[in-house]
Amino acid sequence: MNRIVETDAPEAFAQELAQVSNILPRRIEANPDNVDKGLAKLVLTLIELIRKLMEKQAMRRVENGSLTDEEIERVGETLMKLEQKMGELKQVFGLKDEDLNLHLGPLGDLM
Amino acid sequence: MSLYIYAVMDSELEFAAPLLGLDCSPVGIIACGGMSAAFSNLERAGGRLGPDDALVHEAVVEKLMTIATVLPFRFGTLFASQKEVLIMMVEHVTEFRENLARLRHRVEFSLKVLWPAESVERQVVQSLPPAKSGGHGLSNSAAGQYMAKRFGAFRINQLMETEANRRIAEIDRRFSRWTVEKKLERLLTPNLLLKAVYLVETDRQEEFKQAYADMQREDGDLRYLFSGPWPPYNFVRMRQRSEPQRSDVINKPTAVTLL
Repeated sequence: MNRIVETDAPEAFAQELAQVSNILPRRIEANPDNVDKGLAKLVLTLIELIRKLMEKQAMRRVENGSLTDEEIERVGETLMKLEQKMGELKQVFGLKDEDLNLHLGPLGDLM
Repeated sequence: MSLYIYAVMDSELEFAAPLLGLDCSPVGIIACGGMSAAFSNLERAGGRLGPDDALVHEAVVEKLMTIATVLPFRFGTLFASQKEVLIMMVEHVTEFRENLARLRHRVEFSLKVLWPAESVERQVVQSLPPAKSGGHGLSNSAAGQYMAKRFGAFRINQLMETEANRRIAEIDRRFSRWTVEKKLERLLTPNLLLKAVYLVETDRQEEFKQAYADMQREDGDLRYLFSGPWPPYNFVRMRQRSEPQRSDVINKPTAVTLL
């Protein structure tokens, strides 16, 4: 078989593909020693997903001009506070932004 | 002792020359209804497999591919006995036949493309019209400023996605003509613009390779990783089963899972 494996940037690809394969744990780590952190990670991941969806929807509505100035102010304040609170919780449980994701097998990543 | 399975293929013929698999064990076949499963015996404490074993698995599947159409099994698939392999083949015979018919005389090519995300983003930012103070009803309060910042990021993200889609469509257009099936994944990381696999008729692979060579020769800021032909790892379609697998199959999660 005349197999070709060709690239003009082997190191760059090695780096990116390592990121793809290592980006996420394959399961939620929950054992007696880290059950708090495992659960916090799951809960915060879901909150982060909802927060991002809310933010995206808000931005679409800002773009379409379908929010009043007051509503924009209120949404902005809510999203800002939610982001601050998420930052505090991540700090408490020693989680980083990249920890807040889940691998859903054939469906891909949650976020 | 377990049976390590490499692939199912549309041949029941014994190999003309000896083929060695994991731990240099001879690869044999278990025939069933015009098909066969290629296997070798595996005697290993704990049954742990490593990167070298993956290379042997790949080498065996490639060798099989020169003999027949193959449905490669997931690396690490073990069965307890020949009887269990036969049961698995009987259970999946229709799906195997469908896949073998669909993948006959077809090979897989892989294409990965990097783009310079940071410099593309800089260009995107430069192309944005200057933000008007108070535009979109965004005030100067802390919440308004927050929304303005997030809205700016949202717009940049939208434009980056548009640019990514444009470039991916341009790349894909070059290969579509020679492609039977394809799977495209975009932006798995900020720099990995495209991860694609293409299913190509065996007798069209030279044209497919030429399409890549033509693209690769052009100046541009994209970097490519192109490989193939491979066994059709990414194009075997197996239906998901909700019922549990047979309890006496070793390594249940992978026992009947094709790649």
